[in-house]
Amino acid sequence: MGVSVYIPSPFRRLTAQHDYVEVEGSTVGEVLDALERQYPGFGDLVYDRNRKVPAHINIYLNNLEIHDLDGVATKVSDGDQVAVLPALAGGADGGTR
Amino acid sequence: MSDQTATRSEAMTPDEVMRYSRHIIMAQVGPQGQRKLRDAKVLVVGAGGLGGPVALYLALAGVCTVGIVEFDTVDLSNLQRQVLHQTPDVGKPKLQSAKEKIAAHNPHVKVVGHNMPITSDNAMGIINQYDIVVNGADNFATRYLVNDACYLAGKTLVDGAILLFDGQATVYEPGKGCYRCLYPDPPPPGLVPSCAEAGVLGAITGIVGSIQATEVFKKILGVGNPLTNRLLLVDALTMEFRTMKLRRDPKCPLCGDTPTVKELIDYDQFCGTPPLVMPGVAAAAH
Repeated sequence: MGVSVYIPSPFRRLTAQHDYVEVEGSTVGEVLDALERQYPGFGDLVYDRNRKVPAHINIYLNNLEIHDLDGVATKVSDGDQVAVLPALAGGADGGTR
Repeated sequence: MSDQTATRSEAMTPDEVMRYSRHIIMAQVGPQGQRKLRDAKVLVVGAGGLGGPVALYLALAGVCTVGIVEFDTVDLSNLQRQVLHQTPDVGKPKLQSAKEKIAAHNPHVKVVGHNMPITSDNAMGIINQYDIVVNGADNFATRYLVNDACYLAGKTLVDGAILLFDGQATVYEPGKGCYRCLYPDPPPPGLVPSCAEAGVLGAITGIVGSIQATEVFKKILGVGNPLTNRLLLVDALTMEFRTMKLRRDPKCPLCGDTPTVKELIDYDQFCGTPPLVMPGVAAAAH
């Protein structure tokens, strides 16, 4: 049993359309690294060139944003759920700016 | 109190009582709540995928002053999801189309059209006319602009966004967290695709827009638990709804302990997007 990572639909093109991926890891960072190993290219979405999670991506551990915890060093346990969520901007399609 | 205001404060007409009877019989609404809905002024940013269902449900519910910011025209590709517009409207200004549909649904509603881009120069003037703002914009520059303007004006912002099969919705109350607390910086231009680039399920606009309208009603009526400090995620493929906790970031440049954003800025520059150029408009608005 590992950690379940929720993949929203805008990111599923990188996970063979899987909505949940089970990976092993003892911290959020290790979970993301495991995800990157399993799905090459995923790391480019969740890390910037300095291997930091960019400000338009939020990582949640059991519905809490990891900046409110210990960031990518936050410990995880079997059965935890991680979610990787991007900022979305879709809405009006055109006429507000 | 003006004559007009005095008139609006009077008891509902028999027609209004009949029209809104399914609301009025609810304990959480009643005649008093229905009058609150009638007297509320709500601004909807965008008359597209999200703004359409929001504006329609506001109008149906008897919110009698609905402002709409929109300067686009109806395109054939809009009709897959934008319920305010129909096939004969293609080529027509969306604002005109919206006014016609809303008038047909509820002639008591006054639609205040803001037929212009919302910019740093006009946002405060527009937003200050309303009690609540609903965001249905389709770009990050407008999202940060509307967020900042609502905070600076002390207005509640009911936010929503969509892409592919996913939707997000939340409510920002001034001082309790804002869009910048959730996303301190925008993504680099081109990294997060738009609905035009990646696609969007038409029905997800109805789901998220209806949720936004519901949050507006709750705010006006003062009932229920708002989505404040919670980000609602809708995944139409798994048909799962989940809520993530949001909090005010003490380091937020807008609403944090030592704010640095004290007035509206150049949001095109902030987001790295090219400034808008409208036909016939000499200078691009930021």
